[in-house]
Amino acid sequence: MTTVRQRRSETVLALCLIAPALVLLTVFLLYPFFKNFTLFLYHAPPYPGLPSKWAGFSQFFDTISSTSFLEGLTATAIYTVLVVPIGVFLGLVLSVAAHQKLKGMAIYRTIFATTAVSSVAVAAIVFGTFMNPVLGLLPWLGIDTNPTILQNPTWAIFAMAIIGLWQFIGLSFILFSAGLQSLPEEVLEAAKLDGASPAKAFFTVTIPLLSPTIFYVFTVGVIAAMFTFGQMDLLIGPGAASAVHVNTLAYQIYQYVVTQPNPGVAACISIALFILTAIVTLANFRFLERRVNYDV
Amino acid sequence: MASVAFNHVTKKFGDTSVLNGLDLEVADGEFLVLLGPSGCGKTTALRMVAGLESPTTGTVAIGGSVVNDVAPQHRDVAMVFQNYALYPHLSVAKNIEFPLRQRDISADIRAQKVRDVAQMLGLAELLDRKPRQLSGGQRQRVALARAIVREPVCFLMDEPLSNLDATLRARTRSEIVRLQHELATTTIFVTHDQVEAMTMGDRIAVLNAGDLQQVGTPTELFENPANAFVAGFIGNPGMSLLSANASQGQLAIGGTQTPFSASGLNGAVTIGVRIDGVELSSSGIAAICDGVEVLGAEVHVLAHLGDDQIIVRQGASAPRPKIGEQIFIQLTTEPLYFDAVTGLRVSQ
Ligand SMILES: Nc1ncnc2c1ncn2[C@@H]1O[C@H](COP(=O)(O)OP(=O)(O)OP(=O)(O)O)[C@@H](O)[C@H]1O
Ligand SMILES: [Mg+2]
Repeated sequence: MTTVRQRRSETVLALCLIAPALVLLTVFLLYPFFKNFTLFLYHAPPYPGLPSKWAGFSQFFDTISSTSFLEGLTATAIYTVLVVPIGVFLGLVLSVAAHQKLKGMAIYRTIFATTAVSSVAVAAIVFGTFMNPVLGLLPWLGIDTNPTILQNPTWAIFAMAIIGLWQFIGLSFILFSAGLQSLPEEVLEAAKLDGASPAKAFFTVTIPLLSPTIFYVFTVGVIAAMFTFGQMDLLIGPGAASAVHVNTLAYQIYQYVVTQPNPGVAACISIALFILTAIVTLANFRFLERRVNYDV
Repeated sequence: MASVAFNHVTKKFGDTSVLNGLDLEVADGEFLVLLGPSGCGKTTALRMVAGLESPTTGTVAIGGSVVNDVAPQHRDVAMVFQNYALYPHLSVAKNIEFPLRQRDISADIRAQKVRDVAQMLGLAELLDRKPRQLSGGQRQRVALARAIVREPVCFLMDEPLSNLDATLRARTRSEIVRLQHELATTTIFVTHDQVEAMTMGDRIAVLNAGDLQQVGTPTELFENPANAFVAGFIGNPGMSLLSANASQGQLAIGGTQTPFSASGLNGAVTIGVRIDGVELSSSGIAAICDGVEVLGAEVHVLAHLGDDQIIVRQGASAPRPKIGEQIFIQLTTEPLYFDAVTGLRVSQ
């Protein structure tokens, strides 16, 4: 029989065990999350230390109807559309290729997977060098670099997307490789014996069995893409980002926190971005997940 | 429809040798059972016919032509996997239709064939279900349906009954035999269950540790085992194998003389006795009782003499020996003789 005292000591133990996680969660997630909601209701004072002025919802609506917000929305959308579908597709193709049982495959797997674990700074430097108008690959390939690609209002977003793509492919590759490993081998063998060509077997058996992974990679990819600003900051910077159409919403938040602090506006944009991400993710679940097959 | 032939096939995985020179012919339309204990290479042999594994040396031929270099999808053989390998994302109907879709067959004919096969196997009610909504026995029938719907040249079945309960297994056994007779399609059926082998096969090929032991009809294997392994493996129960000694026209077991002469033999010999060739008695060969199995109408007494195991039958009402008690056994029919070292049958 458990006495009251025993039960109480178990509760104490349980609380002790979850305390570290709870503290981290509170300090780094819950507090900032709720703090954000108070920030967005106030105008930031012109000088630090002065009292904040109540704004209600007006600041939020002013922010999201501004041209710079619209610009940010466009840049974020274009970036996401450029990176995610191609990243999902290439990650899938590479992982299928690397799934073959050939000699030396481990080397390719390592190479493909590395991009996921290199930081955006590394990626930006590597690609920044490629795109350098004097030292880079582009002039060597005969591409006109005046203005340079990073100063070009049409192409700068593509340059940003290629860097993001390069990183996302690594993650997509790792997740798809894990997905392929866990497919039931006999089912794929059955498809062969039933006379399916490799391509037919891939589209009618492998893809449906892999659909939970595809959905997962897609959803994670969209969320990550919507929060990108690293390569914009490292290669273009706050001064030029708007002119070359790469001033994503996440980058605007960063600027309103770091380079030209305005916590109220930053909070408004971040709440808008949060709502957007939630809508897109729910839409993914609503429209894409229906096609996902979870039977194994 | 076609014959299948293994021609001195060996298979190695790295350093482990799994098949050591398999020579085996399966005639057109024959039901051949590949029988052997777990790990002896049955699945490996089957997968080589399917093209999922390639021989290290030797050739596999289907319908008289060597298929070593033919891809699985071009061999036109159908396989029933041990755990069925149904397409989990497709309905029963789509599963059965899958092989037809890979061929140039019109939708009408496909639908007709699926319906016919489903009817034949009692799956008509289940066509819209997904595999996860089926019982083991139903999945097994879907796997069979998928195999027979396209009329392949050869069926390969890898222990398809091992996941079924005893009743269902017995029923499906005869169902498969009936189907195979109707379709007259060459079939290689893998099992480690000798009852299955005896009741289903036109012929049985016994495999042990990668070596073919004997090929023959169930009766041949039962009455004329080529070696001690087959003798001990075939039959329910298999023969009891005892070490004995032959000298001067007298066979002795554990120092006790038997009424048999073992004529022409001299020295150590292994003998094989069926359960109906021995009986309990008040004197004779001494053995220690290891246990008693009550099977309803009869009772099996398990015993050992030295390192050898023996099974003796007893009437249901006879007094049962206790474990550890000494019992006496007599041979009532002349045993089979096997070389004490090689295990090969010794003819007298
Ligand atoms: N891909 C492989 N790599 C290495 N060894 C293997 C491989 N496949 C099978 N083997 C080995 O080959 C031997 C025969 O395997 P196989 O699957 O043919 O046995 P089996 O007769 O079908 O046994 P069971 O009745 O248990 O299914 C086993 O010892 C197994 O460990
Ligand atoms: Mg096997």
